[in-house]
Amino acid sequence: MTVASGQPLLQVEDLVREYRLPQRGLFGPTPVFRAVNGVSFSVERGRSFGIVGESGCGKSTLARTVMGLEAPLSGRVLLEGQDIFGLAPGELRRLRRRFQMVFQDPYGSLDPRFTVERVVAEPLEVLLPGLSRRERLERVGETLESVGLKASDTGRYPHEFSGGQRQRIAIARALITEPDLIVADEPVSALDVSVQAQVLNLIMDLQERRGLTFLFISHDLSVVRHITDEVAVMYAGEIVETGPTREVFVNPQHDYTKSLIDAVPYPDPRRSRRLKPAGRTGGVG
Amino acid sequence: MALLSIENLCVETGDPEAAYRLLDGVNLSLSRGECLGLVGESGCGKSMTALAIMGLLPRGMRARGRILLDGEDLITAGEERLCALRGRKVAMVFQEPMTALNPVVPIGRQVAEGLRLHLGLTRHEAEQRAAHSLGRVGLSTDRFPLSLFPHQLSGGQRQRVVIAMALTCGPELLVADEPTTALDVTVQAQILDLIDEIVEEYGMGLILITHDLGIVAQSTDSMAVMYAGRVVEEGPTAEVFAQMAHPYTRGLFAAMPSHATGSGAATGSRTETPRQRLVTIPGRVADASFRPEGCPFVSRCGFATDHCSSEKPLMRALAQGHGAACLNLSPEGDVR
Repeated sequence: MTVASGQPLLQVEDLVREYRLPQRGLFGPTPVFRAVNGVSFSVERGRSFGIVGESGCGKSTLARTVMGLEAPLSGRVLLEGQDIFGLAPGELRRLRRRFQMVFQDPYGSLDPRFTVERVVAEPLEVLLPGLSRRERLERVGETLESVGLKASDTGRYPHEFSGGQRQRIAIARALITEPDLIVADEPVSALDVSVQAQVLNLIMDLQERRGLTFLFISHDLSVVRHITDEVAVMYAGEIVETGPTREVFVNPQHDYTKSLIDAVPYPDPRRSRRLKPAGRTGGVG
Repeated sequence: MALLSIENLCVETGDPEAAYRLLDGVNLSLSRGECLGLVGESGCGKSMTALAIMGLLPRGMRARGRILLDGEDLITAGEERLCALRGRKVAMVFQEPMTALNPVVPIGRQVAEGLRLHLGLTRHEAEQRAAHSLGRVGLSTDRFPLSLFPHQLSGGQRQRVVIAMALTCGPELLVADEPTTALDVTVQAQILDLIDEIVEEYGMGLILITHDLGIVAQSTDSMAVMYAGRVVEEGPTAEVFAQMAHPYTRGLFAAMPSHATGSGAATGSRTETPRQRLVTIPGRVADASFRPEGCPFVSRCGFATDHCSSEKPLMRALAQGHGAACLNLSPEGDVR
C-alpha cells in the first residue's frame, strides 16, 4: 500500500441520494426512489478504484454525487478530509480543479461549435482566470500532447476526430487543471475494442506518470478487472462486495458478484454452450 | 444445399462513377441448424450484410452479387416477393428492442401481425398462436397479458417480445444484429440461451452479428471476421480461435482486456508493478471513401509488406473450411 499522508484522497461516508418520483395523487405522498443507499468507501492517493454494476444500480448517481453535481440526502464526500458539501460555493469552485470528470459519450460531451482549444481550455477560464492567452495555448498544447494528440490540433473541431480521439480530448480537458482525482463514468463503453485498448493504455500511463487517482465506473467487468486496484460491486444502490480487484474476481463472495462474473461471455470456444448437448452438430434440417 | 449462400456480395453508394464500396466481395454460407457469427468493429459492414439479406438496404445503396436463400436470389427478387419472405422465411432481431417495437400497439397484436399477414389467420387464432410464442420465450400470458405495451416491460423482456415476433411464422433463417448489446450482462446470458434453444428447436439457421468475441466463442459454430467491408477470416469457430491466421483477428483478440490480463495479473504485487498494457491496433479503420487499393488493413498491420498496398488479398484455404485473406500467410496459416 502506498501510505503517503495517511489520509485517503477520497472518502465517501454513508452516502444516500434519493430521487422524487411523480406524485400518484394530488394529496398523496411523493414516492421516492433511493438510487444510492448508504454507500461508503475510500480511495488512497495514486490508486484506481472501480465501481461495477448493471444499469440502474446507482453507479452513475454515485459518480455525479462524488463530483458534487448532485447533493446527497445524507452522508459525506471528503476530498483530502474536506467535506465538499460543507464548503462555501466559492471554495467548492476553487477545489474543483483538484477533481475532474470524464463522461461516457465522447460525442455528447464536447460542444460541436467549440474548437479543441476552447473545449480543453474551458476549465482554465473558470479555475485559473489570470492566465494570458499565450500561456493558455501553451498549456492546452502540452496537455494534448500528453494524451497522444498533436499541439497543432487546437484549431480543429470535435467532428474532425474519431471516437477514440474525442475521448482523448475529453481526458485532456479533465487533465488541464492538474487534478488529483479523475472520476471516469464509462469512459470506454462507446468505443470499439481496438480503440478502447488505446484509451485504457493512456489511462494507465497517465496514472503511473502523474500519480493520478481514478474512480472508474463501468458495467464492463473485464475492463474494470484490468485497470483497477480495488473494486466495489453495486447492486440496487448498495455496495454488496468490495476488496482488492483480483481477490473479488478470483474468489467472489457475494452471490450477485458470482452471477455477474459467470454471465460474462468468455472468448474460448471450448466453453461454448453450443458444445453442451452432445451430437448437436448433426443438424435438424 | 446450403440454406443461405452469399456470393460476391458488393454494396455501393454514391455516384456510379465515384461510387464507394461498403461491402466488397462478401462470400458466406450457412446450413440449417447452424449458427454463423459475424464479428468486427463498427463500420466493418456486418450490419450492412444483414440489411442486404433482409432486402432492407437504405435508399441509394446498390447491391450486386447473389444472396441465395434456398436457391432463390434475394437481390433480384421484387419488393412484393421480399415482403412475402420477410417474417415468413427470414426474420430479424434488432439491437435496440425499444425502437424495433411499436410503442402504441399492444405486444399481443405486434406478435400476431405476421401470422395474420403471412398465414391469413383470424385475429382470434393469431392471438392464440402469439400467446403460445410469447410463452415460449418466457412471457406466459398469466403474468404478461397480450394487452401490455412495450414501455411496461424491461429491456430484456422487450427483446423477448422481439424474438417471439421473429419466430411466430417459423422462419428458416434468423438474423440477429447485436441482439444483446443494449442489455445488461446477466440478461444478455439469458437472451443468448433463449436464442440458442429456439434455433435448435426449430432447426433454423442463425446469423449472429456481434462485436464481442466472447459471444462468438460461446454461441456460434462458424464465424467470419469482417474488416472494412470484406471478410478477412472465416471458418469453424474453434478453428479460427485456435489459429487466428489473419493479423486483424489476432489484434482484435489481443486488445480485449479480459484476455490480455489472463493470469498475468495474478503474479507479483498489485501495487508496485506497472500494470500490463493492452496490445493495441494502431490507427483506425480507413473511411469507406478512401479505402486503399490493396489490403484494407495495410496501414494498421505490423506484417505489411510492399505488395500489400497494391494487391488485394483473396481468401486462401488453410484447413477444414478455414480461410484467411492475407498475402503473407504461409500454407500452414502462419503470418510470415
